[in-house]
Amino acid sequence: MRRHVANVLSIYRSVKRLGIPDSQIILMIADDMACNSRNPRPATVFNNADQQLNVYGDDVEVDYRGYEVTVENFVRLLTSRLPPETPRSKQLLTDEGSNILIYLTGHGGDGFLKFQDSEEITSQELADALEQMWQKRKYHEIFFMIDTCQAASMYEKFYSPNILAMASSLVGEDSLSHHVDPAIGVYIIDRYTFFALRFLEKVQPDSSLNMSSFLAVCPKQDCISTVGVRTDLFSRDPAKVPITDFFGSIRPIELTFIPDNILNKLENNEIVVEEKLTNNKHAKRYYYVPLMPKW
Amino acid sequence: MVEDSNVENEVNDVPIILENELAQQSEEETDRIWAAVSFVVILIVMGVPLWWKMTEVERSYFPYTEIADLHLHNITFPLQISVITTTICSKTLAADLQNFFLKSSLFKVNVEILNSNPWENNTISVLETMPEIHPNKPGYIQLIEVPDLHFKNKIVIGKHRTVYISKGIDTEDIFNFFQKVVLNENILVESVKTVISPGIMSENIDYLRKVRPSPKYDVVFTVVNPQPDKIEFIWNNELFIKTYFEPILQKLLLLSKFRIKSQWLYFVNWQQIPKKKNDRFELNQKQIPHIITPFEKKIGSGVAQNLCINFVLYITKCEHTPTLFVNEQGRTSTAILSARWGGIQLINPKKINCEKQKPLKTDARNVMQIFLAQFKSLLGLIDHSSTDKIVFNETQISLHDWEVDILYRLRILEQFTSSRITLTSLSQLLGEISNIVITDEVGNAVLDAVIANKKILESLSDNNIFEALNYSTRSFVSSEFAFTHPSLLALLYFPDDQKYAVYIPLYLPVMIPVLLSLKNIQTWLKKKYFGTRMPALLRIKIVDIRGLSQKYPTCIHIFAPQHSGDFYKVQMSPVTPHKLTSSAQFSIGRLIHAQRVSVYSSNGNNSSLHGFSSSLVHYFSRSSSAVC
Repeated sequence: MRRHVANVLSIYRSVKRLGIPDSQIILMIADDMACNSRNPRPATVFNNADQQLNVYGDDVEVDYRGYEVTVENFVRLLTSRLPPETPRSKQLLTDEGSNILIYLTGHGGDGFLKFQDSEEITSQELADALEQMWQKRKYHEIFFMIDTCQAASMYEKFYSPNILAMASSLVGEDSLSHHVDPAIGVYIIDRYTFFALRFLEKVQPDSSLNMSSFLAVCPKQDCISTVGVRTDLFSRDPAKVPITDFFGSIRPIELTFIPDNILNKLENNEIVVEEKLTNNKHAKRYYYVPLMPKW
Repeated sequence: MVEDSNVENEVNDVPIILENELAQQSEEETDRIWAAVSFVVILIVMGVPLWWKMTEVERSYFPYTEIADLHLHNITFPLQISVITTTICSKTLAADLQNFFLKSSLFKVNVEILNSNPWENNTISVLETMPEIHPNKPGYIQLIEVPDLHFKNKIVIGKHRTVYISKGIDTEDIFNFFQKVVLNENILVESVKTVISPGIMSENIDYLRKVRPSPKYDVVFTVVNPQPDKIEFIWNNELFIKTYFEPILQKLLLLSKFRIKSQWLYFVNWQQIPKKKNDRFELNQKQIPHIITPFEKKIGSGVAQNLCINFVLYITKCEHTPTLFVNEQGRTSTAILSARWGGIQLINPKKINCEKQKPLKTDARNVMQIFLAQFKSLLGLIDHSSTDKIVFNETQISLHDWEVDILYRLRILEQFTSSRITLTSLSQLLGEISNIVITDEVGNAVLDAVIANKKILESLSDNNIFEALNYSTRSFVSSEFAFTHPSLLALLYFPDDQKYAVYIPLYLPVMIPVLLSLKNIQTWLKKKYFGTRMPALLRIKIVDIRGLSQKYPTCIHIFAPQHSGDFYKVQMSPVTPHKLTSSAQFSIGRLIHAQRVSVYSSNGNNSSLHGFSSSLVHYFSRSSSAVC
């Protein structure tokens, strides 16, 4: 389980570093590995035994944690069928112009991915949820990444357009972990994510790399399993899609020009409107109440 | 021979024993059958329907056909144009204009000619100050010829719903002006296109800027001062927002609810280093997109309940002042607009503010004018102030009546299309997956949305935009509510195979004996009501079986071969060969189920067999004549 947490945090770290704010990332982590009593270095999760890269970082905003991480909640999140009191940070507020990166990791098998040791999401459920998103115009394009055993089975059932899918292993193959940390005696991270992170660490927010270089991120000699890619649903050529379309957020920007006839040409930097509201009786001022009475 | 007489006595006794035993048995049998019947009644007659009813997926009425029918009608906006001319021939103008509008798929135009021009000699400036002469409802436009139009295009629009033209204008120009400016048909077409076919990214920049339609927005004003230790910035958020924003928001009351918030942020930095060029600093087109994310983190729009429109006023750092944004063409500005997000404006402090601690003041009007222009762009309006002089005498950014009408139409169209698509998708989903719950709440919301959606068209045909807007909002909100209702997922993750996994271990061990007892009940009923005919089929056959004791038959095997291969063994003691032991009595009790009985003797002692079979015959003869 620990390596899956490191997997997710690696991707989280990368997309955040490349400019996606926390308000647009929904992070679901079933276990609190950083603060686990068996973690010899509390509040850290490293991606390798050399402890060079702390993927836990300074601020990690986990949106769904522990027992909130369920198949039902995941599907509710995708299809926006959340209870009305759900805060916006836990909602997927996308529209027909949004690109979505979905990264899933955990234990899995042919056609399913386990959640919380007790339940699993099947490839059919996932495909149906994505179709619902498409019908509700919740995305423009999706890049779907999954790191689990027989990962390719998870994207085989997809039928909605504009999905680029990538899996750490083909059906019938296991995804392997990268290396063990002797200090805690468990595997640190999975191979596929390890190499993906290594690749993404080199990417800068203004990078001009394209998706096809990312799709080749883990060749067979590194991953041991064969990385599966599905492009038939995707309408664009991955070689022409900048990596920042999914891993970064380049906002469309334009300069605002206001013609001179509208603006005052006052050079003296003075406020034109005088304060008129100061005598407003209804204006209620809030102030901090002192914590301790003064003697 | 003594033995023989004994045998005779015994033979006479047998029927008595049998009869007592059998009567008792038949009573037991009846009790057993009644027990079985009661189980059947409880489990099958009461239990199964109850279980069926209770585990049935709750499905309220869902108007599948009505939703399918929604697509038969398309929206058209009626537009009433009144033409008032003095020198131009109004009849040809009206006819030409009407013809041009046949091209438009969204507008149904009716041109009306008013012959006299009561304001013949009035200038635009005078006409603009007379609010009573302008159409006061959306969907109505007035076209007035004025003598004093000195604009290049010979056409200009006022603040209300009046278009002014002057002599010598082409009708085509008027039509183009209507399409591009007054009605902004492009953005309407675009908004429908992108919703209907989401795969196509819109190329229309005006449409891309627009925030998503929502019944509620949060407008967040943020003043960012990264160096409060060096610069004291004098600014009154509340006053300036009230002075400049409130009048515009007042006009949008019917459209959405705008909640205004303001905040100050200190020590927040945008993490980009502007490049020095001559005496100023520049942030180029590549850097600008990355300045928003650091703000986004601190602005807190993630915790807002509604869609946010952000306006950020950033005081540049002393070491980088003055900073300007520069685009690819080399034009500079202090303000940028990010589509669907909001605007950022820079305030550049002077040396005196940084070094001498002089409080920094700025022209609030200019700052707010820029924000207002950005706000209008974010709503989906085209800012005409920067292009040709299309709007008469525009000295400040404001929201004109005809612009509000564009927003109404845009909103009606978006909500209409969106609710239609949502309902279609929902009906498809519910039609395909039968175990999705449709609660009354969802069912009512869907019905409400369908009815409201139809009423939009009715209201529009009456040229009642306000009513249409209300219905479109209702249709949109109800359909969103129904589509995103959490109850739709309640049973989805309890698929059939899992249902069987729960029910089978629970019910199968109970149901198997109950179902099998049905067979017993059937036989019992047959025996009871058709009992006279049953034993007629009974045949007792006596056959020799060799190899056993020659003198006395030790046992008689009774086969019921046609029944089910049951094998009844009748023990007979050597002394009293005809006395049936208890197991034989039991067997005979069960023989009534058999259709054919064969009695085999192991030593060929037919006389003793005859005695036995006669006792059998005696037993069966109570109801029939068995063949021996």
